[in-house]
Amino acid sequence: MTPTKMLIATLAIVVVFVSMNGFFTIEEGENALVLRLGKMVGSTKTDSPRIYRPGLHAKIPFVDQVRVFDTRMQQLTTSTLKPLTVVTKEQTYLVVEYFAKWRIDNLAKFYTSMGGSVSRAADTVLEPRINDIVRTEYGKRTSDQAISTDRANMMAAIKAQATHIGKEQGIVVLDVQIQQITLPKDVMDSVFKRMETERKQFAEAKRAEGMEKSEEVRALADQKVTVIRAEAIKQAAAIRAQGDKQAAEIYAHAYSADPHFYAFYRSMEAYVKSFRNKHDVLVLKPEGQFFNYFHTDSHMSAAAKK
Amino acid sequence: MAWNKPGDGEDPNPWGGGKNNAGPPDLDKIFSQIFNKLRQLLRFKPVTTTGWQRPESQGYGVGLGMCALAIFVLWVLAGFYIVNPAEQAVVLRWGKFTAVQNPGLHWMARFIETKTLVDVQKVYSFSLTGEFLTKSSEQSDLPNQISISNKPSVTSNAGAIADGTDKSKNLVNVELNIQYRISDPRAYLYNVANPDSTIQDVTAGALSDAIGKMKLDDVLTVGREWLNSSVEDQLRQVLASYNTGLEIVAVTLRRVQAPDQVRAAFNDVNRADQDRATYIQQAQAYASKVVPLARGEAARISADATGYQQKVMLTAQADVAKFEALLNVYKVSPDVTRERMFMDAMQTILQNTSKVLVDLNASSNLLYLPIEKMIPSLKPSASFPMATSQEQTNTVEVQS
Repeated sequence: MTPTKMLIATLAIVVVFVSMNGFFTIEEGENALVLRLGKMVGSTKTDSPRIYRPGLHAKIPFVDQVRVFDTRMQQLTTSTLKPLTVVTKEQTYLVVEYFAKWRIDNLAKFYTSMGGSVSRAADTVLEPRINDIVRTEYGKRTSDQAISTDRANMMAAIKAQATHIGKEQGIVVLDVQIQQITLPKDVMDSVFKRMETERKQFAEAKRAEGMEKSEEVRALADQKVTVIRAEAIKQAAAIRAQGDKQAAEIYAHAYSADPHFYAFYRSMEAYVKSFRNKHDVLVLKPEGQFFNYFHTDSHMSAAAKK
Repeated sequence: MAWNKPGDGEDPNPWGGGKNNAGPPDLDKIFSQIFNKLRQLLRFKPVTTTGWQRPESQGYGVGLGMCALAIFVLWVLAGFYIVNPAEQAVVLRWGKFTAVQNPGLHWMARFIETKTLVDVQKVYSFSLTGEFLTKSSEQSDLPNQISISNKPSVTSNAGAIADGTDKSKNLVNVELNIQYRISDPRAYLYNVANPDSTIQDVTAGALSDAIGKMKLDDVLTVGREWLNSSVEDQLRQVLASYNTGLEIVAVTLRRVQAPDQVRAAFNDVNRADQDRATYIQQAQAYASKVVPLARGEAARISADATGYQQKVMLTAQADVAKFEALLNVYKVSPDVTRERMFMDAMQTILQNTSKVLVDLNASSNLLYLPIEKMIPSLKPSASFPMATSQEQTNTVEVQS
């Protein structure tokens, strides 16, 4: 055939291939730099390197290298492997977990200082410095202030200082949030112990209060009972006394009609009732009115006397 | 090689060597025949062997055109796509964002545009559990103002001692559930790296923050609602400031309780509460039993007294009536009545008792009187019951 045609065909394929390498796309959420022979391609307007935004761009095929960077908001989190221990003003140890939100601000600076590595940036630049800031702020406050009363101010202070980090590396820190504050293990145990004892005392106090109130109620009831009973006894005594008095009056009134006869009558009754069984022994002389007629000649003489 | 001129009459077959040809097959001929075959397949017109023939433009163009048309049609067909009702599609052209497409049928230019389908209605959910530090407590913080007279004798943790205010740290165990969905697909995909773990970390921060502001007993009892809404507010605020493209659907506080290590002690407080109520109830039951009983007793005492009063009076009246009847009789015949009464009485007495008659003068010798021997039924004890009523009277008469 014709070598020319073959040559043209081959050339056409090569041209297509090369020109495909001359275009590149940048996706949303990314930006890029182009390196030409080791140097960054500059923007035509200013002296700083050109930032390639999302879209289609052209470059010199094979000569230019494209470096793509994730420009989304990144997160640095303290890991559980290297927890951050801080000391508060009153020498309490706290274990703090936080995260920081940051973004690449200046691509050129980021590339030159960090080699474009996001993880390197986090490890070498952000984490040590933010750790320092956090430690310092905790050190200024007591643990109570840090956890509760002054927490908002502390967070604002941390965040304010953190935003100044990373400017030379083309990084901007957008936010720092404390995720979790815990206590070192041995302190935890003593806190639990204290909590437990506090609750136990509280429970005891409640029970004691219950018993105290219970005793009060019972004592009050007992007191009432005593009063009621005493009142009743008093009134009963009065009634009985009243009865006795009335009876005595009846007796007196009746008996005073003839006191002598009453004396006699009552004496007789008393004698009969007093000496009434075989165990009572009377040692008598056969004298007196009963034995009036006891002796042989007395009844004669007594009758004669009448 | 030249065609035979017409009229020669010789064989025009190029392959045949003819009578004249005895040499090897002509390579040129073979190759051009192959090319012609190929061109026939592609519907090209065969070229002559004399050299370049300019290809016929129509055939060439038709073939190419048909090819290109086919590819184009395929490309157009491939560009259609459907966005499901719960989804949205984020479309990029050459990597750059162009639009967010709603559910329905859409078309995009393949290889130039790319789409990412995002489910914007599905609700994602995660739970966060952990122990959080609350606001430090002081003595006066115990609920119901129960004041414990002695300060806790435990060792507070090291920090509190130097603090000087004797505040104590507390931990509470909390489980929180967050439900969220993607509200802005573009932001979700391209604004924040790893938005799903971001929302979890922000939630932890918001929870830690909110609990740190509250006292332990508030967290356990009355403060749950405040905690819930506080976490929700902060969560929304922070997420909005990050522009994650995520929207909070619900924040639910699932469980708030004392840490496992101290749960028993905390439960005991509830039991102590019940015990307290029980003690008081029991005391009240006692009171409501004992007081009415006492009243009953009082009534009985009173009734007894009244009964006594009545009895005494009636007895008096009966006695008096008896006396007065006798008095009337006495008044009529005093001597006889007196005598009769005296004799009756004496008879009764002497009938019932043991007697020793001593018929002596007062100034005689000492008399030995062994009464126990003389009256065998006599018992020394004065309180012996008088059940024995003997017919016989033991009478001993001593005459000297």
